[in-house]
Amino acid sequence: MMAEAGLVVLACAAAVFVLWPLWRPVPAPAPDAERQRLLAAREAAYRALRDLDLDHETGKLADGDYAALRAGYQAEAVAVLRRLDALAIFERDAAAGPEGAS
Amino acid sequence: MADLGRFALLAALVLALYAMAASILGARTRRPELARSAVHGLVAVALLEAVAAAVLWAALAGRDYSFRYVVSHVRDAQPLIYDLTSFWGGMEGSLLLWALILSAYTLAALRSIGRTRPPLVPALTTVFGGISAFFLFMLAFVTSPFATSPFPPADGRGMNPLLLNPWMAIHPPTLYLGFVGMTVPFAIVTASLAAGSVDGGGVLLARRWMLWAWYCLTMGLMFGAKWSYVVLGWGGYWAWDPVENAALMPWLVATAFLHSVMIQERRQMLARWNVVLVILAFGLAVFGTFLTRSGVLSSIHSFTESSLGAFFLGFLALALVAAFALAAWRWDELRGRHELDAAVSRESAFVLNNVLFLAVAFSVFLGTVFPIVSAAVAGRAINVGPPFFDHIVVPFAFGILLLMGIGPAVAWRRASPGGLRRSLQAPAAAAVVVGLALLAAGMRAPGPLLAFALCAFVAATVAMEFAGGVRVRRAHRGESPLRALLALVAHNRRRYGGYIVHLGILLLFCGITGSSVFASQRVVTLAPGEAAAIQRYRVRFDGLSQSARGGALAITAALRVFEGARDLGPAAARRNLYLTGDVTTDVALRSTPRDDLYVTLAGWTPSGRATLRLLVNPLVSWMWAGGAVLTLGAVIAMIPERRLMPRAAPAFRGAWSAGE
Repeated sequence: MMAEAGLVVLACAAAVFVLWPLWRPVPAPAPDAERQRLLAAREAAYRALRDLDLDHETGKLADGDYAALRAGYQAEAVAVLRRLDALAIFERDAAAGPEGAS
Repeated sequence: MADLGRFALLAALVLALYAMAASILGARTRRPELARSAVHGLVAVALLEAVAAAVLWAALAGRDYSFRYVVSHVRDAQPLIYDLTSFWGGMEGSLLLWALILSAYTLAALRSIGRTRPPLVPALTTVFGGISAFFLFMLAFVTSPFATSPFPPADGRGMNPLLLNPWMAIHPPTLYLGFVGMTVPFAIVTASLAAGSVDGGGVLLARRWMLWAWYCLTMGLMFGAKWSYVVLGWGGYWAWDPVENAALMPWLVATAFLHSVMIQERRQMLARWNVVLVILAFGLAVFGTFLTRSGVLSSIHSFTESSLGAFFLGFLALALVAAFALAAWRWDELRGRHELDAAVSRESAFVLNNVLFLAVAFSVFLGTVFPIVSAAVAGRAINVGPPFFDHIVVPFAFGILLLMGIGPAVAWRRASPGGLRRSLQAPAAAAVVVGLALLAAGMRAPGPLLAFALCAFVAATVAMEFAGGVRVRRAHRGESPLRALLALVAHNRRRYGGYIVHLGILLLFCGITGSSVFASQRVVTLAPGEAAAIQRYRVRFDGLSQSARGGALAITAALRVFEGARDLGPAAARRNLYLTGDVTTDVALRSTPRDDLYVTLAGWTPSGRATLRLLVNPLVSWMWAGGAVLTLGAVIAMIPERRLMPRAAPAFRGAWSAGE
């Protein structure tokens, strides 16, 4: 009898723990796919620049190739940063609402 | 007690199903409280599984023979530590361990990803809930660890004596950490695809989890090899056994992924390929679990034949179909943003490396399932033995070794011919010098000559990478060589941790080559006082003795080992005979960096003569040292690097600066 009572208590405790959030509404997380994609692109560009510098300084990459590749990566990094800035402005305006944005 | 365990598993199953349903409903109806409730469901699943595990451990430690599992794996004469480790010594307990580890990973992943990518959490909860539900269903309805007997025996049967060994105590949990660890990258990738958060299919997020799972699988394989070497008494550590292969296949695919994901990080290419690799690695991990438990293949490691195979195959098919369907759905969004710039580049080397790893994995898969396929097609199970695997795998292994040397020497995107020549000159010279030195020392076999020369080539490339980095750092900062080296590794952990892992693999490769090609063996029958020589060792047999050890009759051959005139001391080779009919071997082992002297007692006569098997296995200790080096490299590579750049400033000239 005691054992059955223990199992009932365990079941009730589990049920309360699992269902508790239904009585405590939480804000929906904002979709962040674009932001995450841009952050990943930024990290990729930085990492590529760092590797490029190391490859050049250790003599694996010719000067001409290095300059051309670096210019390409720099342009990519700048473009990503601009889009991140634009997204941040958009998110700030959206969070402020119509009055805040005006 | 058993009721509590059964109830905990059943309740956990219900909650895992609830977590699945609530997370799907929460995502569809945009009700975050449902998604949060689903996460609570998985937390409760973990707690209930912990309760079930505690019940089983208590029954094992208390030798409660009303549990059938306890009867099968515990006996009064068995040391308590092995009573406790028998938790994963049988089918039911090991599946409970699977579920328990999965829950631990689930909570860690939900916590980590919930902080950085909250929108992914509902889909992740669905995937984790689904996988947990499968294992809990198996535990609750198919193969329960809590089955009881109304008439408990006075004593149990105990574990197979071969498993009563410290290496076997840690081998399964380490291997499971790797197998189950493959679930996390799979869950992240499929959840990303399902949620539409397809920045590379969630692959980059999955990388660190895959690295951990890969490391655990590596160490699990090494612990298993060590157990095989010191316990089975056959003198080897790898037999291309189906269950060994089952762990090797996901390891190979994960290794390929850890290389190709670097291309995705830097060039935003190969996202589709990486998604496929993550799904394959998980599929092979489940397939390995199926092989171990289905009884379709005979293996010294597998559990007894059971009906579990059909369930595992069904689950595997469902998971693969669902994952590949998601990948197909997002296929266009996973398109790479770049193409390969040049045929000779780091990217090309990694692509080729992937091809070779996948070729090895496919060959091993083919050889492993061949008995099943041949039985289905020809009605007769045809086993392919180690020669098949050796012939297929060894050439690929040479190719991989060569790429390990060339890869670091090649620049990303485009290698300049001059730079490549400069980078490869010294390593090529090192390979030639080592090859010539070995020739001069009398080595004539072309395979080992090539293997050791290639190892020298790779080691020199790695050394040059360190030297080049130190040189650049010193030029920028004027640091001492040691400080520059430490700072270089500290600031570029993934890169240099990876190189250290390569050094560990080299040691492993040398050990495998040395021990598999140059091992020598003699079988001798000696009377007390007689001695036999093998290579530089002489082993004297001093007599037999009998004793009772751990419930077995132990027959011990007392030995004395000499190297030339030098007395290396006593040694003992033993056979343990159990009443159950099991026989185990205690090896007389003397290990040095150069070679292992390995002596087993093969037989004896009533007159006191002993038949001894003497082996000298060169370079075996290099393999175990390789495991330690590999651990160092993996730990360094797993420590998170701090963000490469501050939030605002772009990285222009000098971004690398030899370590920021």
